[in-house]
Amino acid sequence: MNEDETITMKTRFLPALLIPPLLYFTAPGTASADILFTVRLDTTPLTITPGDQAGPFSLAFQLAQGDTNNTTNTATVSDFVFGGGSAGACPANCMTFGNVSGDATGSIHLSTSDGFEALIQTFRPGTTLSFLVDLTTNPNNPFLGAAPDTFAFSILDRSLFPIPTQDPSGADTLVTVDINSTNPTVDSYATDPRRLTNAGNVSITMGPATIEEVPEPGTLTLLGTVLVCAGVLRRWRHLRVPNA
Amino acid sequence: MVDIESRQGRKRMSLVLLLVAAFWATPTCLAQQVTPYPPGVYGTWPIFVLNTKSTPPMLVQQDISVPGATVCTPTTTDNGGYTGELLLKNGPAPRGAGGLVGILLEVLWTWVPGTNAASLDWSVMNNLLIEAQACNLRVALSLDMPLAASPDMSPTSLPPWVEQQIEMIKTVRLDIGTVPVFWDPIFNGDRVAFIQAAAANIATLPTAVQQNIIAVLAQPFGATTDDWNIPHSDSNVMAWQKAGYSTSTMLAAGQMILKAAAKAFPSLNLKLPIQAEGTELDMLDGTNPPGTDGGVALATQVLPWAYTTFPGRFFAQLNFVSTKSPPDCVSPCSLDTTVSPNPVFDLIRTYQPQGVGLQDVAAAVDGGVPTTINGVPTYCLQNGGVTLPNGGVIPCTPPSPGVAVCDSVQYATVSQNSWYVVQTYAPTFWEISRGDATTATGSQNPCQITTDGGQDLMRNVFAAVTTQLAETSPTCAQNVDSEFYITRSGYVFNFGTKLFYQTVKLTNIGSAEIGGPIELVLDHLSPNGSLSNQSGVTTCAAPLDNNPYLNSPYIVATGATLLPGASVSVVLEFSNPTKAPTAYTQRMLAGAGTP
Repeated sequence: MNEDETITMKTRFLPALLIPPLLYFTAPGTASADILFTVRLDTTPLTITPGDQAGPFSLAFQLAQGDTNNTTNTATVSDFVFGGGSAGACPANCMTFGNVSGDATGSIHLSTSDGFEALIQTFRPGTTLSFLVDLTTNPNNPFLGAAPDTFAFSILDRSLFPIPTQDPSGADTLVTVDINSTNPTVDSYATDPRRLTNAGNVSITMGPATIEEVPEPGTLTLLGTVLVCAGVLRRWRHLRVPNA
Repeated sequence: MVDIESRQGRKRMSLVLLLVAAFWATPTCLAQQVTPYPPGVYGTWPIFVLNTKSTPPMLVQQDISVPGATVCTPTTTDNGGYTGELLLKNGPAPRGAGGLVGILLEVLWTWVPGTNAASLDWSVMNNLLIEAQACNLRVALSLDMPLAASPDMSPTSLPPWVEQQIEMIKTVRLDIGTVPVFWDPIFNGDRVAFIQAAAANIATLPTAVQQNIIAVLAQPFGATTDDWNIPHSDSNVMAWQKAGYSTSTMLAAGQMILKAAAKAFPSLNLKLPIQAEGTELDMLDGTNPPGTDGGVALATQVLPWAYTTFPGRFFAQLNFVSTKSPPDCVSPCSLDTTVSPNPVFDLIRTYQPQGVGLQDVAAAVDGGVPTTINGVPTYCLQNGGVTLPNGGVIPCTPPSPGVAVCDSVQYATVSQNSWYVVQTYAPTFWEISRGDATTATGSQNPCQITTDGGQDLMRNVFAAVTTQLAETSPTCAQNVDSEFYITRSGYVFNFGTKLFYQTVKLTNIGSAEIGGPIELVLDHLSPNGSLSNQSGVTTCAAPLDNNPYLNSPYIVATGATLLPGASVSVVLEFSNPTKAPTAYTQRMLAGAGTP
């Protein structure tokens, strides 16, 4: 095989190298986008007076459907870290709405397939609370007058009222995601110390959760594929230089 | 593989069809969305009577054109004369041109043949409904279910299918004969069945004919007609009391009939003529001594209940306005002693802002005992009328020697003076009773309005009144849908308040500022949700999509003016025990008018 044949073969195989990324972008699975993000909260104010007077506390996760005639979304919440605290064991310490599965000792799975799903689980706060959220992002069609599906997280006091936050909707969430695009914004809100908790009548000052987006595995695969392709391309160009 | 895909395809298609069916079925589940009551003048149009002289007795139409005749054109069989028809005499009269918005169409239940509620023959009424729609006259439908059909009726005058069970009905002997009591459950069951049968029949008519009907009158307290009429002579009062009459019992009976009408006709307004009764019957739980409450205890309990239970669709109505009625004024008014003081006027005044109707008694004639004037028996115009601040009229006196009392100019003048009284009560609608334009045929009234001049004068009066009513009725808030871009957030549940919260952002995308208040209306709100923080429900501004429904909840987004490009957000709070998604269609209103 001489050099010309080598180059011809490389040229012939080059399109094949581009197939993986092409498949990635055209595969049906790519229509169901996900976002991954980590939520981190300093929960120390819940462990000390006066904040602890409102406890025991509960985690509350919900996924609400915006419109019945649209797509389904799911949320998986996992990798819980309580910073010295712990989640109560289910079912004794849990309350569910819809077909929620799992709990905060492992992972929680919610879906909009039955309209509204939620999990309330008692927990003992530590210094921090963090968890990972894997949320599908299939937006409803707003032109049909549909509201988006919504994922939300709150911390409830012992009366199961949410700790007051600066959430402008009035729902007192700490984290809210309106799935209004394939890459929706994750909103986090600090508590509202001007409003007292329903249980204990105390003011709780807690900053907004830190949200860190995590590249999802598919994105990493794509990145790797692109890098490989780029490397091959560079190599191919390098080989062609002598014949120029 | 093909089979599997085919099955999956069929499943998907089935799902799509199911969703489409659910979408189309949803409006039928919507509660209480009602066509607005068009303000203006309405004529009366009794429809048909039983001709007992024919063999066998037959239902014949009276004073209307026969089925199949050219619509809106009288035929040779017409007696003519009833208000609605009079104003059509000169040919088709587009709404407003004849001064009439619509007609009151009365259906007496003894006139509808049939052996039971399910087998009633509605064909004559249906023809009239079709004709009215073709004539461009809206219809207020009166389902007349009096205790007796005429003053000398015995129970045998009740509809045959009611007679079948008459022996089980509790009756009372009154001046008008032996009649069922208002609160008898069997009797009221028959009345409800009649209402439901009427609704079921109307549902079979063409949509345009159905939508042409704007109101239903199902009078629970009519002894002889669709007027509120509870006989209360001394002997009657004793008979009622012996039979167990009480205000609360009557109230319950009224609620039953009104609820049945509201349920059977969910898109129609409800109207109810009211009247005062004998104080001995209508004391407020016995706390008011006789003579102090004017006999309106029942009315004072029915009206607040009805206005609250049927917001935006209930209209109380007075059926005896005349030139002699007191104009609404600051008390003490100078009242004519022969008809006033009448506490019902005070009552109707209370509900003016919520919508009331007035019906004139014979503006043209009183139909009573004739007075001889210049040797000629003459029926006075509204018992002589009174001198009114706007110029007045003394109709019983010939205006000048040689001028007939029945001069058409006088009719128009009396109508104008009636209108003077009527307008002081700010009604939504004004009904002109049949006597106002009656003819000599079959009537005790020798006067008739046969000249074009008289017709034209009355047309002009009614047209002017309709225009004025439309202008004085509440101005509706303006639809500004096209000026807004609206984004909805998702629904978030608050586990404490048990409410769902949704933030709606409203952006003025127009080039001009929009004057406040600015309201967001939720039309077609799904039955599983209710707006907990609503500012009210629409009573005036209907959607622009040819969908004339009201009673949609709305919330005031801001009272201020919104500049071009500016936004305002409003949080909606939904009570939704099912937790299934709440659906609605958004609509934007703005301005000083009523939503």
